[in-house]
Amino acid sequence: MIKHRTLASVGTLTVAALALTGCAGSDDGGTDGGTTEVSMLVNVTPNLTEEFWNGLVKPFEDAHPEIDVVVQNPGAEGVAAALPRLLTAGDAPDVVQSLPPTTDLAPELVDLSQYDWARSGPLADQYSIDGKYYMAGIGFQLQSLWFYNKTAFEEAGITAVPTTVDELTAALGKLKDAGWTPIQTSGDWATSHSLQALGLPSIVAEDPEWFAHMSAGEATFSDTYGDAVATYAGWVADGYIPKDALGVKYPDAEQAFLSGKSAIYPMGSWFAGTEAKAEEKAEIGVFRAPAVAGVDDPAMGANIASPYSILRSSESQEAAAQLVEFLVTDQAAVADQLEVDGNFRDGYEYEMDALGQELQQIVADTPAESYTPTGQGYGERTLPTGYSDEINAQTQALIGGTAADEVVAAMDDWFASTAG
Amino acid sequence: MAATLSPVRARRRPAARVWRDRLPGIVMGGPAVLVFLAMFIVPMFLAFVLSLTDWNGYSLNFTFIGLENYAEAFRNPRTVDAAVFTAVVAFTGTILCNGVGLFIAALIAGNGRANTLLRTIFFYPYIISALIIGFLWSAMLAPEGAVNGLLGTLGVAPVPFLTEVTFAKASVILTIVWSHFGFNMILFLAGIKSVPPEYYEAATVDGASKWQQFRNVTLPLIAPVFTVNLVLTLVGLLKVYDIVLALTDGGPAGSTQTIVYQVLRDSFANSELGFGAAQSVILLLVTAVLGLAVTLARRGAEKKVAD
Repeated sequence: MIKHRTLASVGTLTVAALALTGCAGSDDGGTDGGTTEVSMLVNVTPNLTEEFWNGLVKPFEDAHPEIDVVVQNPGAEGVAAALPRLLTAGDAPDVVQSLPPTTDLAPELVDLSQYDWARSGPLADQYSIDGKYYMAGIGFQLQSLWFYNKTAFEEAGITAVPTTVDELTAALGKLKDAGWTPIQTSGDWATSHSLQALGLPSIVAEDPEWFAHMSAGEATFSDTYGDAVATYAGWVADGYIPKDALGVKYPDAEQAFLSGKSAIYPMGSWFAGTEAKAEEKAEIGVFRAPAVAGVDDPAMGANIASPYSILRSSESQEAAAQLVEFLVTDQAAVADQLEVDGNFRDGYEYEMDALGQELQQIVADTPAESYTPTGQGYGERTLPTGYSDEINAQTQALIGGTAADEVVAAMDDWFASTAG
Repeated sequence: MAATLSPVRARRRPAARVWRDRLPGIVMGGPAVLVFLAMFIVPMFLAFVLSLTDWNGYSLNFTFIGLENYAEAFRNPRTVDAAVFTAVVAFTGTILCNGVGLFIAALIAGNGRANTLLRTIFFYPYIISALIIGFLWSAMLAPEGAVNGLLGTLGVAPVPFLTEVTFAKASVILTIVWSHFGFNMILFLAGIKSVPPEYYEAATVDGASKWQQFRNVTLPLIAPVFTVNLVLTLVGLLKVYDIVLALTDGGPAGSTQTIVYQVLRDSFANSELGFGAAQSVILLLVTAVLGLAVTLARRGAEKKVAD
């Protein structure tokens, strides 16, 4: 009989042979000469460099000389691909960053419910599974946002930001009449961002259990998302979304909007980080994605910024918990992490420009219960596997000219074959 | 000959001597066989076993679900669409890569300096990373890219190379052909160069034209090269992934997703390692069957060369 661990390890390697692989440095945890080693697997990016991570944990190490934090870089493989390999190889880190808990991953994670800082952190309830808190994060990545070019709005005679979908549609018409490209979107993964920013604020506000109902097959896409898809198709037909948007890469779309070539850009709050670094840019503002008329409290799509979890296999869970508490509560550590990736959290401020301050105000004004997942979802609010790819593909189909009812029917078929 | 051998056959050699004779082969070949088993056969077998499970990549508590992953692979419309597009890429790409490669090889088979330079130029795309090629052509074929800019100066309306389904599929295939035909060309060149010049001299004496020499001398004699080219290209294109990722990221509307693209999405982005393994096994079988079929189909042509 083949042992599960052997099968899983070799199987992972075989399937992953098609993918890029990197090597994460791996050190055994535990105590060595009175020092407890805590390994932390983190995503290393142009913003979040190894130097940044080592600098981030240094104050913690100084305050806890008995704990040595070892930052693990998964390389090009990334945390999401590296963790399964490390788990099956029996070489998992003590702490993992940037991987939100799912029902698949939860059995491998420590339940942090005993810690107040985990229960009361940003989006803690939204990410809980069966009432258990498996992660603690540093702040919010807002999703349901429309960034706008203030000059374009002035030229189009728009004096106030839209507060309903109808007002948004009217504004798009005025922007087009004024000679602007109304909506900037792009191909790749980013296409569906605009459809979700249009639909979810109303859909989830009207049915806070929308994710659960869709997953259980108790609601249909056509009944819940149909109006948003029809509105979106109307935007495409009216030329508010250029048909050639699918040939534009995400970074190029970002630059096009920054340089003032388009009027409105649906994107997450991390765009503010790019905007803050840009030297020549249009004057940009942001407004919360509106719901349809009659919905008083639109849902706000948001993800947790930099979630931390502790692996059950860790031999240093107590030290790991002290490290995570520091990373998600220490004023300076949180502010540093928020700033470097353009994220936000009420009460944790860093030096930010006018756009950042607008976003900080949105965070301060949004009630905790209004936050909702987007895309595939998280915690207990998840949709069937593959939803993100499917909604993105169908949004691209809409831009390509496919009729709204065909797209809605395709999504209904997809849910019928995967939900329940 | 048979009469002299028969007494030897009749005598049984001592077992010790038999093993002594076999020992060098075992010692020298054994490590290679062990490496082959450990690196190829065992992982393939375990990947097959994994494909019978619902493993999500994290928990070790997976369960065996029989052939459900295989049934799902044939039910899932995304996987089916990806398989169809992969087949289109593989067959069309194989024909075009070999057609263009052979054509160019025939044109620049001479020994002139210009031909040497042209060989280098045509082969160059093959040694560039596929990801770089994808990003390069993505920038050139974008709505405001160089190609549409050039068309614009000629008064031609922009072409939706990457934004319309049919054009995007064609763009993926042509980009692959552009990057790959240099490899086919080099193999064909090697084959053409190996044809003895006396054959051409004899054909010339018989009054054969250049086309007739190519058709009746060159083509039959490079039949083995053809087989190698066909199999390698077909197998390579069945696994195409990186160019698609960089050029279209599977879009628009998922129309250019290939089967390997799906395997990686399902395995890692969607945490369905068992399902990903099942698709990998199917791809492995299809690749093996097609490779074998092409080799067998080409056996007749190769036999003529041997004869």
